Amino acid sequence: MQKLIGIALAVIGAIAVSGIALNRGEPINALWILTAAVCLYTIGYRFYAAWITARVLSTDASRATPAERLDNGRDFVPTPRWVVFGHHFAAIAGPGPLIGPTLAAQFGYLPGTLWILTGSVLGGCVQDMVILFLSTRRNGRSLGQMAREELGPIGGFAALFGTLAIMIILIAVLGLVVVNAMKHSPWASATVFATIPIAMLIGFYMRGIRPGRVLEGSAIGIALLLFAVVGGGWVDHHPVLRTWFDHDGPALAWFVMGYGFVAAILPVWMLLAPRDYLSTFLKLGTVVLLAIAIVVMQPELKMPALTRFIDGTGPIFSGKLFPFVFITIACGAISGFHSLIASGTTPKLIRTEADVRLVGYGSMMLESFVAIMAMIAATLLDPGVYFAINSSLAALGGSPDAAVATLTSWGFPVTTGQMQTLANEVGEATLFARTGGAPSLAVGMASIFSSVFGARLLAIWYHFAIMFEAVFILTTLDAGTRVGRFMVQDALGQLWEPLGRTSWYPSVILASALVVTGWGYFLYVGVIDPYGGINILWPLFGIANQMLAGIALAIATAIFLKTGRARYCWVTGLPLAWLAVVTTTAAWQKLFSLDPKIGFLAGATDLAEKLAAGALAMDKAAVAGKLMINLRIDAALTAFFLLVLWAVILDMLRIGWRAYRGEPLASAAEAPYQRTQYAGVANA
Amino acid sequence: MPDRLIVEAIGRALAGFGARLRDIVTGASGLSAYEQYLAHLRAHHPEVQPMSREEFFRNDLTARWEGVRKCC
Repeated sequence: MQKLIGIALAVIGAIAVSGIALNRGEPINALWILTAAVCLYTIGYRFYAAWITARVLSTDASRATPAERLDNGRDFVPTPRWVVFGHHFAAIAGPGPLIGPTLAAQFGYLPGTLWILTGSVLGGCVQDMVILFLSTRRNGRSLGQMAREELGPIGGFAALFGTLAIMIILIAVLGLVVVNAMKHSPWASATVFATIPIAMLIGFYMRGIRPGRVLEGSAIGIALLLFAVVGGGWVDHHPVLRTWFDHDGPALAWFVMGYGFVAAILPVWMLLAPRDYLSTFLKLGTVVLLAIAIVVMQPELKMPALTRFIDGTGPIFSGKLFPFVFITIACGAISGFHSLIASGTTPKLIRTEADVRLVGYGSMMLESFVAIMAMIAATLLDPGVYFAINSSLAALGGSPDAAVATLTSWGFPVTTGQMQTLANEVGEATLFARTGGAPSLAVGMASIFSSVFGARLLAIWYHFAIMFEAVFILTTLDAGTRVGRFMVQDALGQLWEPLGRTSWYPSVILASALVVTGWGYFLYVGVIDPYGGINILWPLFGIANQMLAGIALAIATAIFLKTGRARYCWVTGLPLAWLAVVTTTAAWQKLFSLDPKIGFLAGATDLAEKLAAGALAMDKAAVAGKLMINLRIDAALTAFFLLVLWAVILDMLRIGWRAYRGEPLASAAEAPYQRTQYAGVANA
Repeated sequence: MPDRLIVEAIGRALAGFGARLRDIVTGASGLSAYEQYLAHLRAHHPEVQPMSREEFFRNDLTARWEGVRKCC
């Protein structure tokens, strides 16, 4: 019976995938993509993941997990599988899978969709599950500790500094996305600002008034958030109030920095934790609603399967299909960041090794499904509208009129009238050059929802989607700043002991300020960049994230090689090899490409020459110096990421060589077997 | 009466499915976390005085937000 279901799924999935891949010339229905996704995930989970846990990892339900052996009722707690799943998914769920696919849709729907599906089933889900398992076998060791113990000091250093650098870039780019969504939009700004006191109110509610009543608190919070969306509309229509919330990019960037600083030094229960509850419920609710709406509406994708921009001339970001589609999708297919969650907190909760597949592989499947939804929402839009929203004006000729002419000449017809009507319908002044992915995702989501639930609500749905994304971004922003703060405090503590005390206020403030300055710098330069900043920061983030995934996969491969599982080392070794190729190519091009739109160094040289020749307009000349410095910093960071990745890979190969030669290796630090005391826990 | 048997079987299947769905939703959303903790203590550490609901959620919060807790 199991096999029959499996075969049926494989057949349906194969039909759906080939339907997507072979369909040319005529529009394809979004339902095909949804079907292909569900089938592939199910096959991956039931067969590939089951095979890996049985053969490669040899999970053993009779083996007591650290949660059982070290149960202290605080951080080590044996927890039911769905509770762990909820914890883990809430931690890995962020705005990344919403943004990456939206940007990658510039190549057409096909490349991004295929990579989201194959990358997650064969790469991302495997990475999350394997790291979760390895950390569980090592008493919940963190990725950095495992890197040090299994690879050596280079690996440990790489994991530590890689994490800090990626955090800084991630927060900067997310801050930029939220700034671009709020820029000169009183409605969006008022709604996003309102989410802050709402989250604090829920924090007090769950802490003081009705402690631990998660459902009540979340229900009240979500009701208030929906009210804030509607209320933002009233603010927008009020002649005086709207001016309070109408700000330009730099002002909003300063606000986001101030917010990040304050949020990172407040206690977690006040703002961070309650908003995290709200955002997780919102994400699940919205994704389920989107899936239902797509099944009901069966909308057709208007984006072609492949666009002309696979040649690297895309207006949203520059660079060819290979390697940049794999860098841009980032978190929806494979995310190195997840390995930090999968080692550390989650393994201390796992009650039995039998749950590793659901928690590790399953959570990432759901996250990848979110990315598929974002891809559908982006490719439902008229391509002309999609490109007009997501490209900077500088990339399309400098003005809205020039932009529509350029896009129409490229074969993506759109008019200023059409854009203005759409902007009026969603309640915005303009939708041109709203880079960062959030506004276009919001337009896509709003058009799906409003076609099911009534067209007059388009503006409400649009701002709901903006709020939905902003809530995630702000959560990642202050959680990331907080993590960065702990890391900086840890490092400063080596210099002078009191600076390492995590609750000593001068140290807290100093470390938080350092971290905020770090990402604030990249955010600010992104905001003043006439090309929108996203085209620089997002690839940098993608490279960093794939580098971290490479480190995680290298650790896993090294452990397989050391523990006599060399014949299975391709399970992590192949995704690692692919990531190494992709990341190295992308980083190389970002460093040394002679095209100023792709290469950071070429870009800096090009700016310098244009500035010297007086060929830049006044506004561009004013910021050119800052942009040049920034491009060189970006180049240095890229080189650093590349070096770190290869140092770790070479370290892994060295271990593989020694294992092959039969030379002695430091034994893998697995905790010894102890039989579980839980009867029948394997079936629970 | 095979009809009744079929109806009952379907009813049981639905009830089973409903119970499973409820477990998934309450579990994954953290709604039943405290109850599950009490059950765990009763079953495995009967000698330990359980934390109150307030204490439990306070602890849970600290444990949840230690280290890297949010991704992209």
